[in-house]
Amino acid sequence: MTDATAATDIPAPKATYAIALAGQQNCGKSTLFNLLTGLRQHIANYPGVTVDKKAGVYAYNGKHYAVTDLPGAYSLATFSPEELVTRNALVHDRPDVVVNVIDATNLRRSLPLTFQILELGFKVVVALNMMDAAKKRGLEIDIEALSRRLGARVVPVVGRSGKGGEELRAAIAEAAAEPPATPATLNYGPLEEAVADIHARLAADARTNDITARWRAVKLIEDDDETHDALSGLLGGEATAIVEAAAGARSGFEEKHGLSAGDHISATRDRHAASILEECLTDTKAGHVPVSERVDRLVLNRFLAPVFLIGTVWAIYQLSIVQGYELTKVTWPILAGFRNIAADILPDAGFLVDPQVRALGLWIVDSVNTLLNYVPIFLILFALIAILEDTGYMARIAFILDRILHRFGLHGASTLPYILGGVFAGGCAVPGVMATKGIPDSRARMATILTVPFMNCMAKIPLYTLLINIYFAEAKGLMLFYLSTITVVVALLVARLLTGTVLRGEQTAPFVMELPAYHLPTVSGVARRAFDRTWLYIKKVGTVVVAIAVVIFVLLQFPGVSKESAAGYRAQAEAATAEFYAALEGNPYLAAVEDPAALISLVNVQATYKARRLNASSKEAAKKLDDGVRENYPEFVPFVLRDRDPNAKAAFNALRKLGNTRSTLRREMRSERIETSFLGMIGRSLEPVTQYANFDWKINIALLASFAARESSVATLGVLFDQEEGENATLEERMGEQQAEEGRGPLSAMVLMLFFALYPPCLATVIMVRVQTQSTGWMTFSIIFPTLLGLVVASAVYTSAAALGLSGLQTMTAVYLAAVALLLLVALPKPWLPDIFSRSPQEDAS
Amino acid sequence: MKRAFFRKGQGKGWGRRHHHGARVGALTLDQVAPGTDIAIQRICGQGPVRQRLLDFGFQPGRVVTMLRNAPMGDPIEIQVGDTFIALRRREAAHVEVRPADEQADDTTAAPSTDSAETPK
Repeated sequence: MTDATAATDIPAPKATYAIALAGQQNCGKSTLFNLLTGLRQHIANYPGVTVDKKAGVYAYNGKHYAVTDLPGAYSLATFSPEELVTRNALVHDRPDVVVNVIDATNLRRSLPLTFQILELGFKVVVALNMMDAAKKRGLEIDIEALSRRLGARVVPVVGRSGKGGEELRAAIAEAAAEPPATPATLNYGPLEEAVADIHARLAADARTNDITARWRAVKLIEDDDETHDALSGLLGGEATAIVEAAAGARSGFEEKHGLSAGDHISATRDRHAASILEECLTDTKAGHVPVSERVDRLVLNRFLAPVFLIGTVWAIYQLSIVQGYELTKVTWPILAGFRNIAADILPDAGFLVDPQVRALGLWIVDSVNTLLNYVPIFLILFALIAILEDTGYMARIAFILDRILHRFGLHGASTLPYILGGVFAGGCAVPGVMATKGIPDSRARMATILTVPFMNCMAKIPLYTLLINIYFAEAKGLMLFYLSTITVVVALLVARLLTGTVLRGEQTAPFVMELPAYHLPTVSGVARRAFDRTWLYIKKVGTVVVAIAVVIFVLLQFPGVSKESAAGYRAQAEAATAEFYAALEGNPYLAAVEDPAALISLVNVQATYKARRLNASSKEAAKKLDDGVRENYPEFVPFVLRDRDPNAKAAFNALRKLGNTRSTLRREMRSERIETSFLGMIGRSLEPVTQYANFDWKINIALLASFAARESSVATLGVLFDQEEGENATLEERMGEQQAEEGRGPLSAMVLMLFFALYPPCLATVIMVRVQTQSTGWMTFSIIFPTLLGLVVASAVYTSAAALGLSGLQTMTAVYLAAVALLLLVALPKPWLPDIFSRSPQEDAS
Repeated sequence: MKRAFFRKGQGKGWGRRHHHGARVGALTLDQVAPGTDIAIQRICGQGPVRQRLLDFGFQPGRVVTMLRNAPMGDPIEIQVGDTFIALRRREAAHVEVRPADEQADDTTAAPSTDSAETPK
């Protein structure tokens, strides 16, 4: 539990107390943690979000307090990783004070954990959170009586508004300064004698005589494996006698009362909670239906629930993806501005070959810009998701959809990762995979991690749009519908396949989940999480993208064009330059460019001017650009800006011709460089495999490049399908023509899109898979499996469709219907199958 | 009987567990109609499900309300005091219940059930 101690690393005087925040899920622990420490961190209403341990420090009256936020745990049993982490942090790290956060609206459920923490012998401060909600609910709590019955300080707080924070700090300071507490004793009735006996045996040995002795005695009688192990670790062989005594007491009790000791202990705590509440709690609105339940009668209504759900998902899509794209139109010029600045700073371009520093620098800026372009979308998306989590609706989504998802080995909580990954069109698998942290069931979680990348992330869209515009212009809507929904179908089928095979051995967890009361989210809470998650995305993905951009750059640039053809290009360039000078013979403006270095500078100025003029959004901007040229390069004005003067016209035309020749030469060189590059070689060497799916080497290169970042597939194709002359034809036209010459039509395009839909996650996602699964093996699997699946499906579809002579659209329809049919076949009960086949993977739960 | 059909598909694999689970013929939580108050009789099975149910307050003797089925029939939502719990039918099949107004079944009555309290 290094995290817990990490907090104490922060420089502090010796007087630093270790404080642990413990509480059940949805009790507002994270909000209180923020209140105490002011540290940024994750809060959510969705059960199980706080899986990591978080630490922070605050100072109060000259003393320092290192606070650890423990994961939400309903009890100190060790059935979930959260509970295990919490228990270990308490038992092994022994914080000075435990702040037990409890939900004031849910005391009966909360108190048993409080008893267990008290039993462990800690100095406890009970933070009675959500007092505002309790008041609204009509609950009157006698704080003094509660404090007396518990034998601990009880501080009423409202975490959301910060009320009670000062009192809580004061109570913690008082408790920390006190001498150690006497462990509380809860009377276990018929088992009490046995508990006392085991406790005495443990207390008799110096190695086990500490504050946890009584708690350990109870755990031993409960037959808790972890405690057995811990005891053996402490006492070695001597532990056996104590364990046997506990086992004897347990079986004696169970025989006599026909009830398991564990149940009795749990029931004793529950009854004790009830008896305390009888004294401390008045319910002035008993019998009233809680507001949340009244809302749920509508929201979870059999017929209305799907309406609300679809409406919500539609609203998320509209606000984040559609409106977010509108926003990127505003932010893109800013990013383009960065690129211009970079272009100005980097060494100037040469006539034919640019310095490598310039090429690499711009390449990196472009890669980073593509990534940053999505930031507005992510901000909106993450804010909306935070609202869904904080209001409590996310848990309801899990409740509504679990039935379907469970059929495929997934979990209701898989919905959030899928939405983030882009259920419709436009998401990102990186936050999607990140969000799987909240899924309690390990097998479902793994299946979700491995299938989220099938969703249509925003970077897949450009390739779809490109190909659909070329080949399916008349059936645009239908094709997009097919592509955006088939990925969900495939993801579900793959999830079912994986959970039934390679994931069979993974642990499953029961679906028993709290539906938290509805809360109004706070603006600061939502904004904080939206920014945190976006920042995490930029940080995690940004570094990877830069690294990969460099690798791909090298693979595309080297070994470079051959010496002979380089000489050929140079000769052509020289010829063009000579022609330029010949055209300017006797022209008074020639003087400005007689020096070859000045000519290169002129060509660059003109190229930059042209590019910026294209992007100039208004007349004023264009005028400003013109003025800039007049001011900075007065001698180039006749060449760059149009003029009626015949000499200037001649200069302008000569330069335009030279400029066009130059860009053609550069494009040809680039194309040849890519063809002969390492990546080009790989693309060609893959042709024997990919020919069955009808991918040529150009497409192979684009697909390989897209592994770095999906956006680059279209950029790479743009380079590879370069036109010969002029810049009039769009990439759509160029690619369509060239591919048609090579005998590729709509069918090939459709197969390519299908492959792209199934294609492995991009590198950033793969890194996130590694982080979330903690396994390089699964990371490798997440690359290889989809590649094979995609290739097999694409090859099978292409080969059979070509044999049957189907058109692209017909094939897509057939594939779609087949996938949906398979989905239904898997989903619907199969009473006609023998039992062994119909058994779903969940049923092997151990 | 559409739901029964579905439940069969869902519950099949649970079969193995049923053997050390609910007693044959016992009323279990997954069989209760929405809107019914029932008292918890016994929680069967071992491990995480049982622990989680106990943590959520499914204690023998406690009266809970079966609120609703999810739109597709599974999971179900149960109200325990002020807590609202969603659980799958296969998990609910672990919980033996009796109508809220019926007396505790003596054969399984724990020393605890004598103090079975009415819900607050």
